[in-house]
Amino acid sequence: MKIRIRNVLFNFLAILTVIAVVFVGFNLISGAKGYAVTSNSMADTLKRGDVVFVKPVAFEEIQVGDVVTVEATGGKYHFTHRVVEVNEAEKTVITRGDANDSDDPMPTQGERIVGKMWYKVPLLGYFSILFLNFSRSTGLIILVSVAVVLVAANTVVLKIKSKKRGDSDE
Amino acid sequence: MSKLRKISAVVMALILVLCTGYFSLMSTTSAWFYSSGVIDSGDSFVFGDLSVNTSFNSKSEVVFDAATKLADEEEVLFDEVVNVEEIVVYNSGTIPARIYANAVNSGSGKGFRWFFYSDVTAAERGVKETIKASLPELTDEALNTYNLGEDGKSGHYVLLNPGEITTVKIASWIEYDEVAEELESKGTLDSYDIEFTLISTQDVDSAAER
Repeated sequence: MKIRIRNVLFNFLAILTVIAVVFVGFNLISGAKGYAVTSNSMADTLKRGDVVFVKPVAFEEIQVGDVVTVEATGGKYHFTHRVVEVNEAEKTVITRGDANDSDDPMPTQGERIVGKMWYKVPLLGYFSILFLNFSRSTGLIILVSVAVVLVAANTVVLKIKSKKRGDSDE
Repeated sequence: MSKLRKISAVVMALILVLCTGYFSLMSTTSAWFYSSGVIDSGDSFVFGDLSVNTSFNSKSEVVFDAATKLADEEEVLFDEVVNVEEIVVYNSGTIPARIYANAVNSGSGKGFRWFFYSDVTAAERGVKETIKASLPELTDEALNTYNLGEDGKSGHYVLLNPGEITTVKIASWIEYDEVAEELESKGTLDSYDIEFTLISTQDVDSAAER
């Protein structure tokens, strides 16, 4: 019974790892960038907790109705809204959140558009939202610590088991 | 469990942690900017939630006890007669935001002036000293440029980082010279219908719309 549970857990871990690796690899290779959605201004298209994956796009390809991610304040912050008007002469777009009553109050320059929405994954963004309160370096430290603790715990468990086995052999 | 399986279990766990890191450290995307709030309900202005208004207004009937003169260095009772609206502002969003203010006299009363600030030291040094420290000269032109900018659309703003809370103030007063005749004939000032507005915008230039 114990072995069966272990096998199920191992297989589950293996499947999860394969899915995660394929998914991350797919996004890295395709050049898609993911952004965790933190507000509901694009409800029902995008909800808080979703991850929106965008792909870079030339300004000429942007059309009314496209959902685009725009960088703001020196690239530190981003917003994702729908294009409601394209001004090709000035290379700007007017955007609007689907849930908003009005258009965003100023045009967005084409060069600030990071990309066009490709697809979304629900709930995945909560990982990032949970880490919002930490800086990037603190987040990295936490994750590395988790990894180290996992390896250490595994090593300790293996040692205890082998010691027990050794004791019983004697 | 074979040794190979044990090692692969550790490797898989590490890979999963790395993948979790990839998702956890993704950039976030939020709304452009948004605001909500009713100045009448406890004089607070919370923005950053889903209610999508970019500004709100408060219409008040302000009674000024007396008129005063900002530019007059001998006028020492300025702070006694100035009206100060205090509004608590809170950025509950995930991006920095600017708060701009506006005050419009919608009635027929003359001489209305206003000044927007959030200086924490203002309480100690007084409103007039705060105004003097903020303007190059005590003229209407300098005051207008400070409040609304040269284009009439920008002007002084208070920057609020995500999660930050502060109190902004709008000081208003009546310039004596413009109501001197009225004061002589009536003896007192009528009340003024003032519309105070706060606007939250993204932290970029030209985002304010008045």
